Amino acid sequence: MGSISAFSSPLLPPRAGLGLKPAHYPDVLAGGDAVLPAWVEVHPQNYFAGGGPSLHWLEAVAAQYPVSFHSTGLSIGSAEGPDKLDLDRLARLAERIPPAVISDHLSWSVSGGDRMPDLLPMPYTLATLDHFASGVSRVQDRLGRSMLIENPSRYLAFADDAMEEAEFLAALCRKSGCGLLLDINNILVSATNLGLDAAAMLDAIDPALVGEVHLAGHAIEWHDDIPLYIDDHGSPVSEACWDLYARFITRAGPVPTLIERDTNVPDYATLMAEVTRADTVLERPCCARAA
Amino acid sequence: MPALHEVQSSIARALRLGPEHVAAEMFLGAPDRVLLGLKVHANTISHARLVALEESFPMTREAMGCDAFNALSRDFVEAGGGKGENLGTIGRNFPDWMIRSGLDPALVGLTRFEWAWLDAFHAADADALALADLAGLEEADVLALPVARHPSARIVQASPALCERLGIAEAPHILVCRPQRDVLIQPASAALADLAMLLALPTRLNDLLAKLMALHPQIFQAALLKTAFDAGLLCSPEVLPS
Repeated sequence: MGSISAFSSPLLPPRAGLGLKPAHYPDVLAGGDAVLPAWVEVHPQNYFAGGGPSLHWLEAVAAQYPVSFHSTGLSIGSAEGPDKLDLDRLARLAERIPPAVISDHLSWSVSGGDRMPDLLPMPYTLATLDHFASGVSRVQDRLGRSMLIENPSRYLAFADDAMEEAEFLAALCRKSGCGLLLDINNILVSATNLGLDAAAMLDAIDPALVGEVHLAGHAIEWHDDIPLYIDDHGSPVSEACWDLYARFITRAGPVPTLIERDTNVPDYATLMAEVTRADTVLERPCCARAA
Repeated sequence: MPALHEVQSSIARALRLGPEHVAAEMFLGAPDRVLLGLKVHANTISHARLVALEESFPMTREAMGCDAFNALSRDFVEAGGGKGENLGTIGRNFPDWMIRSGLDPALVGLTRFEWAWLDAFHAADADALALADLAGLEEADVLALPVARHPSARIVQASPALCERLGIAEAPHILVCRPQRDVLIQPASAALADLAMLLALPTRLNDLLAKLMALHPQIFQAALLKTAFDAGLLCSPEVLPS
């Protein structure tokens, strides 16, 4: 219990943060007696502008909070390699507003010039491991820093998968020097959709590799009495996700934890109630970090 | 296992054209669950593109009505209109596609205006030149002053209907510009539109005036320049982003 991750950023406190939406800029900048997150996360692709109000808001927020850049567009797993245009823009933004952490996903989005706004699955084979690790290395070289890679929400498994997800992720970290962004809702979604044991998947993750945790909600569709979980970030964190989170934090100690909501975004107070709940888990005596 | 590029091309094709375009044996599990999985990805992609178009063109959507706009944007997405673009730029080719699809040019004018507004909103910041900045300069220095078009400035062709919708005086063009924090829109004469075009490359003020004189000999140049300065259309080439 209480292992210190080699990938925890000294700039990102091991407390709860908030996925920041434009509607909540005034709330997080309010100061005074307002309940505030310890840090915030943004999708950098929303700030790939030459200038303008969005960038000025982000600069104002970054002056007050540690900011994590959670990229969705590098397409690191694409057969043609990471998206160079997106990477250049990310590098420029990171120079202008240096973030505490930069992350992206174990996925691909670009194929033959088609930029698909989704995080598509990678087969878990030795060949794709080498390919993905090489992509991560190229991104890290360009950014001049190490990054975190998020475990995906999976709806599909490949017939030729040669290893479990945790094994793939651990090998990726060894090969590329990246860390993990552990999305616990994604574990729940993947386990349910692929008929796996979520707790076992979570327990297989080495906490020493985890630099950040994500918590989110999901939608459920039923097909022939079998649930299909959809990672839509459109509802509160589920109780099953909170349970898995407590299980992980008990084992790992405090890790920077994000409340993520991208659709059906509620008011600030509702989101902050979830941030406070995550902080409560992080502050439990059993989670105190070992010296 | 096929090579990674074959796997990804196959998935991309299935997401674009339908599940019959992917080799089902590529995946583990029952075929109907594989189909559901592919469907989730296809829906996510389509939904994200449709929402991005909706957010890029709220006035066009209002003018057309939600259902008609949604049908139009779905046609655009299904025709591959946003294929090579990320969500931030997916609307770039939407107005041209609307014209090719036979949409009312007046409506397309509104869509072009909205794209120009969005472009100006996200353009690089730069201090606009004001007439006050020229105070104290000798006439020769003023004429030799290097000037450029402000990076946020866009000229859009206008129609009476568009001007009325935007609440501005009727004019052949509209200047969209963000010289400071807010995007400003104002009616623009043909001469002001030409001035903006002539500023595509940095130039000296006297060269700009000479070219304008050739194009619009009947226009009082000083008044036109004052309008351009007041609109925030000019900046120093030194403040342009590299």
